[in-house]
Amino acid sequence: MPNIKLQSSDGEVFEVDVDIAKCSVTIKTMLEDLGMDEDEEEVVPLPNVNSAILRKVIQWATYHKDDPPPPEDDENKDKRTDDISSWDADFLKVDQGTLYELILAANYLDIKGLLEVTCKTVANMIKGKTPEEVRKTFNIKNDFSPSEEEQVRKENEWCEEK
Amino acid sequence: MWDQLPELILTQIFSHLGHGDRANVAQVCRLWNRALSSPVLWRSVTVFIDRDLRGDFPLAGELTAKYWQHIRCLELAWSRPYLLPREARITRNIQAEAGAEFLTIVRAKNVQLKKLILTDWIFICKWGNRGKLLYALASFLGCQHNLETLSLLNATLGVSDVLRLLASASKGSTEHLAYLDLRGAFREWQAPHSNPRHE
Repeated sequence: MPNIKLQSSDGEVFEVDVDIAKCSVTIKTMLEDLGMDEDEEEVVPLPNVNSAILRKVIQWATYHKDDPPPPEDDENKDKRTDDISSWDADFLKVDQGTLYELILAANYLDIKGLLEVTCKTVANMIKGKTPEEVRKTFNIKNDFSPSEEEQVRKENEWCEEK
Repeated sequence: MWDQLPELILTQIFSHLGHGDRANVAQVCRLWNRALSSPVLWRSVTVFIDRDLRGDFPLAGELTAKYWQHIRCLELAWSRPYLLPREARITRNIQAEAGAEFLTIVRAKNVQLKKLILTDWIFICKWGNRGKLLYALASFLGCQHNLETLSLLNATLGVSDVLRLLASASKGSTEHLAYLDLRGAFREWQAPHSNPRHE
């Protein structure tokens, strides 16, 4: 298997199996567009991903390299969040900052499976919490004015579980 | 940090949340509130007639006012299909009435679905507003001109009810209706020999 080199934003270079790197649609497209397939000396710069996160992403992609491609059909997407594999659950036992960076990296690198499982993890952190508890969990500032807040609260009374 | 996520990512996170959690998320901050009105999140909606339509019709009103133009797939279900008949009759009647009213509103808004799924409509016996609800459903189906899929999976309805619904659906969506799921649609279907009418 040929390897390619990926360079993180802080300059660290990672040697990765091409097939593993290509689970990122961004990298795959880059390789195809630049015709870099054969040239092993080339380094792919990833200015939006630091080395700590890139190491995690490569770890994830290596474990999932034989996964079937995710289904394209978005319309019938499952709302389930209880189907996170135990490996992924362990992998995502990280602090919120890392989880946040992983989501952004998965989005930038266009790795559908990783984005999916990180988003599910965040959804699980939201489930069953009141708006105030959600703000506290994610350290979000309430930027509604009092009248807006009242309005939004009224609008959303319909779906609150009693 | 989390209040600066790109809206597309927030949308993907929220797609995993049900009605109740979405209502809470809408009240967290401006960005989250805005991300929640993304059409993708409302394309496919499940309404539990006996749970989501309680009280003064709030869900129907809110859904029709804000999100209906986005909805393409609607699942109408009963969350607790197996209530004891005697105990539940009054409650069921109110729920069925709410369901019928909901369908009337949705019809008036001219919502055009691609897919309608009826889950666990287990009507063991005939009771008051059951007919009213089925009538509203048939009228609604008659106005659906883009319907591609109709699923009566485990609806367990009577033969005449199913036939009336099918007639309305095929009348409404002559050109598009391509997929019917009738598994478990008929309550007589499963055990015809134990039914006194077939003995």
